[in-house]
Amino acid sequence: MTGLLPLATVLMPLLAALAALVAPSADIAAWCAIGGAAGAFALAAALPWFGDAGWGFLAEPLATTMAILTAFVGMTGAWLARPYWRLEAAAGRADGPTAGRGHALYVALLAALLVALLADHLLLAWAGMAAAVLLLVAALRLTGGETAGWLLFLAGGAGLAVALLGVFLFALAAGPALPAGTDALRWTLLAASAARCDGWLLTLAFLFLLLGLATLAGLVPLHGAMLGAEAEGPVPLTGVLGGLLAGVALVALLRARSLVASNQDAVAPGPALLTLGLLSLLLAALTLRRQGGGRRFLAVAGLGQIGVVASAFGLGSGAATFAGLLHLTMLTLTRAALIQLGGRAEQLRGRAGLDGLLAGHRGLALTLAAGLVALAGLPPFGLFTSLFLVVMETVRDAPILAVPLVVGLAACAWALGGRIVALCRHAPSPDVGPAPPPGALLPAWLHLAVVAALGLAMPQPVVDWLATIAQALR
Amino acid sequence: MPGGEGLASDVGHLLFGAALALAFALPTRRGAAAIRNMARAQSASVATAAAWQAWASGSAALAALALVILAAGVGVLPWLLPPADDDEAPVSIRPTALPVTAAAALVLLATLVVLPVHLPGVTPLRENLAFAVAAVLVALFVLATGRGPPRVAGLWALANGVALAGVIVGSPAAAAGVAGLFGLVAIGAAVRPATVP
Repeated sequence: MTGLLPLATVLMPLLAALAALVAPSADIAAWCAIGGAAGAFALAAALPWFGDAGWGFLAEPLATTMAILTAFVGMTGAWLARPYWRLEAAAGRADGPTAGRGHALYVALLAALLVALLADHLLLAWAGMAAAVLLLVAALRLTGGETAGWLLFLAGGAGLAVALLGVFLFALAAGPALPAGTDALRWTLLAASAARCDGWLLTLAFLFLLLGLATLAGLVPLHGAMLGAEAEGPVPLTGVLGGLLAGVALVALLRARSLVASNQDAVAPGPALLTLGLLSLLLAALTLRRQGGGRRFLAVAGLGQIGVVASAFGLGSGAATFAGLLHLTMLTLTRAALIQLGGRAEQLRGRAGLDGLLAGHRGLALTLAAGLVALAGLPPFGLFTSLFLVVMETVRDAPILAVPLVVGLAACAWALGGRIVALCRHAPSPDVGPAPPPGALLPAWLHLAVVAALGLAMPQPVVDWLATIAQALR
Repeated sequence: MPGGEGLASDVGHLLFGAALALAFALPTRRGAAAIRNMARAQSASVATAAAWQAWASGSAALAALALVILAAGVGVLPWLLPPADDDEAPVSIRPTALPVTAAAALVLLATLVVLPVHLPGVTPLRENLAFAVAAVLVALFVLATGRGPPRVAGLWALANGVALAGVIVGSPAAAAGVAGLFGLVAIGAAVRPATVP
């Protein structure tokens, strides 16, 4: 049946969430979450071959690529969540029902992100993002982060409201270009009619959508609440899946940018995206060294790289979009691995940070160091390739902007290098929790292995696939 | 509001303008209860605008939208934010002159940004869009500058401004979107911490 596979990809984690919610024990809830997330990944991985659009869902290359990536991170994160909640229970920070609700929230959040990525209807995509924000707020409240949850709700709620205004303006802009009675809020219909829409209304729609979704992407100047949420709350929820919300928002912005760029009367959408991206990178570069050593440091480092993705999308050429998509892919995998490891270190050391971790926990420290090397954009990891492409495209399309880009990247790499030195050479602080078993590092190793493999020898089909997406979005 | 003319258009402008005037008054209120009452009055005004457009154009979607705004903005949200919890501690946002000037500047900005919009056959759209965009910008100002309870009312006023834009779109999807947004605000109001930052 048409469109059944994307629908099943979304429904699988949703059903798993319901099962986890009514599960009699936290352990059974954990297995429900793992099964749901693994099932979602299996279904998402089949989308490029067997998926077709229908039931209000897309099955085109951009949606399927991001769905596969999100479901993959969701699957490895679900594997991490089981020992995470066990350790939290052992430390007295969570009881059985709290852990069970944590697992249910986890797969529900994964479902919300997949809805936002795969939805053809702008309103459904908006609803997916709104659900994701609410679930993140619930996740923060689960472990006593009421204030962070409330601040995320205010910022996320305002962002979602402004994004909804942008969605309405898209509908107004497209209305006269479409036959009467047509629902103007489908990405596919908007893409087909964008050239005939009112150019200024399209511009306004994009600006409001950018202002709203920048809040969810954690871009400057509305980055505070998302950073706070990533740095607090349960690691699998607010850290791993919360970080994915930025990618979801950026993909929606990329689609919107492509629509507006195809209208000759509209103001070029790229510069606004480019500016926010560069400002985010520069802010991260300026503040990274002062962030201490815990999850907040990793969240701010991620903010800088999200800024790089936004600036690549803002450049607008096919090659720059290719570089941005590649960077987003690599960053999603690396950031999820680092947040998983940072969460492990936090359970081990409390708020003492990562410094001196090598002395007592070689495996965890070396994996963290490898992740930090990857995030700094150094070879052999794939972020080196994608950053190189972004810089080259910036030099080609807007040479003057290559200066702040390179300075920002260098400053971030310097701060990350300093953190690696501290990780290896500083005096260790005493452990406050049990050491993670080697198997707990497996998801992070898998992520970093994929990033390294893509950096060393990217398969030609992957290059062709991303190039196809980029050309379609020029 | 697709293609309204004459009296229908004039009354529509009046109701949109009333919603903006109430948004304009939001940053000047000093008590939390006054701000909340202002947001409720604004919801009532937006619901009336939607109902009027529904009657003028015979649109069932707009009628549904009017009901959604009325139920959420006049019924549910005031119930979730009862006057008793913050009436004792009046909240001052800013001295009056500064917010009024800022709000006036935002209304001017909204007028300027919609000025180049030109859709043949949809004459009143530009004016009503200016009202909606201005209401959104002023609500964002309240949200950004307020502390404590006024921020909830700021989010509520923001939903009212977006609902005004939903009235202009007038489709079932717009009604669903506005319902979702008010639902979001209602959930936030229901679960807000005892002391909101």
